[in-house]
Amino acid sequence: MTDSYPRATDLLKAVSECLQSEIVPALDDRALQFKMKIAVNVLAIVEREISRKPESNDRDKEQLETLLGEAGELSQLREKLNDKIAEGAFDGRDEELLASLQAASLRQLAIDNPNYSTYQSLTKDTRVL
Amino acid sequence: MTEGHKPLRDLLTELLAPALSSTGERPAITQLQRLTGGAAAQTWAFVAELESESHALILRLGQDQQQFGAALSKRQEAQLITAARHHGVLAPEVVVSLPEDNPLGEGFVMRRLAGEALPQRILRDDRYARARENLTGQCADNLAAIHSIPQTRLDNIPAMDADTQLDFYRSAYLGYPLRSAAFEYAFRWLRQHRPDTRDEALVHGDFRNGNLLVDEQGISAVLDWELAHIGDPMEDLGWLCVNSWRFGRRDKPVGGFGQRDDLYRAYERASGRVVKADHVHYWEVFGTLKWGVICLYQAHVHLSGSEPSLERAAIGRRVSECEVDVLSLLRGQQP
Repeated sequence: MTDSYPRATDLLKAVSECLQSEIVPALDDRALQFKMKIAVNVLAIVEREISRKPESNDRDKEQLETLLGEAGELSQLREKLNDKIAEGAFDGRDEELLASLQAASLRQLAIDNPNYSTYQSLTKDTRVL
Repeated sequence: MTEGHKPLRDLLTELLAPALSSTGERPAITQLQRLTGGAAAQTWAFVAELESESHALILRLGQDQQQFGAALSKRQEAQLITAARHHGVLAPEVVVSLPEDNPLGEGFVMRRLAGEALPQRILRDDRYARARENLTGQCADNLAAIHSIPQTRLDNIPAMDADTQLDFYRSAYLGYPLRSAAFEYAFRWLRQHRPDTRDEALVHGDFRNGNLLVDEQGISAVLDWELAHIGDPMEDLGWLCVNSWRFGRRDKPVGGFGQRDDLYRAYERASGRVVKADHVHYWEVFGTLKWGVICLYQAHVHLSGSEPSLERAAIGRRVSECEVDVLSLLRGQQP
């Protein structure tokens, strides 16, 4: 593999730039222009997911193991946490739980929509991730 | 556009002749076009032209099979809008309801009003600068008027308190494969903190930036009445403050244009009710979770193959916005 080999994120960027600079200006239909805007946004999500998801999953796993006090597969840990919250097993540890959940959701939001107002505001001053 | 849809234009001519003209003159239907927006119903704009005058009108049809939540029928919605208008709410004027057994199904025609409903424009454009100053007070006045409509004037409007709605959204949520720890916590919190509501009222159910038609002076009409129900009036105040409807203006909790205290005080003056901040906070948490469940629902409709679309797929990625908002509300971090 050489430096001239386009990675997945390079391909996504190329498609996105082509859509924005060549396809969108050629569209008269405002509904189609709007759809194309969504498509470009979605490509950016995929690009961020490819670059950020592995590390984000690792952090999720660490946090879940701390919260639950046991090791395991990520999907099983997630399921266990959901069940325990619904059962009220974290009553009394609310602030610890909420802080951990918020860090995890912010990592996902960093992929889905880092321009979102709450993301901008909560990550502006400190590294909460 | 004007030439197309002949069966629909013929039907509108028949329907509107007795409503618009005392002599039964048959209007010509022109400029008929389907508008975007309003996921739960079809909306068409057109002009009905008579010899001496023309009327700009809107046709609303409820044909969407994928309605989410307990939406009113178009017949009920038309009755309700008319009652609201008589009660001083800035609601559109219903010209005629479609009769039974017509090929379009249930629907009604209302007068088209000038104004802008796109929140980003309302919050950004210079021409709405004055409107933005007036909106908070006008929201308070219109909400107070809606909440004072006597329930005796409303037939078969469903009653939906916090518990009923939690049951509904919980069971919808459990029907989708994705679970969210943040939503699990929010559901539990909402069950445990149900407010004590003694003065139930007619609640609009979707009163937010995006459903307000706005001109240079502010609200010209309150739109989209199909989620109205009998419930806790504070539900409307909380929903109006949900961060998703501030469209990036997080520091202006009321729809992206106003401050909470201004809304609460103006509403108290207009309604005679007392507003407690934590009571509105409850419904803001509820509304944020509700919007999150709606995002999950949209993604599910796409992924299940029942109504695939790029928009629905993309909305599925707004769930994390709702998670972060609901958690920041519960941690006291939301302005």
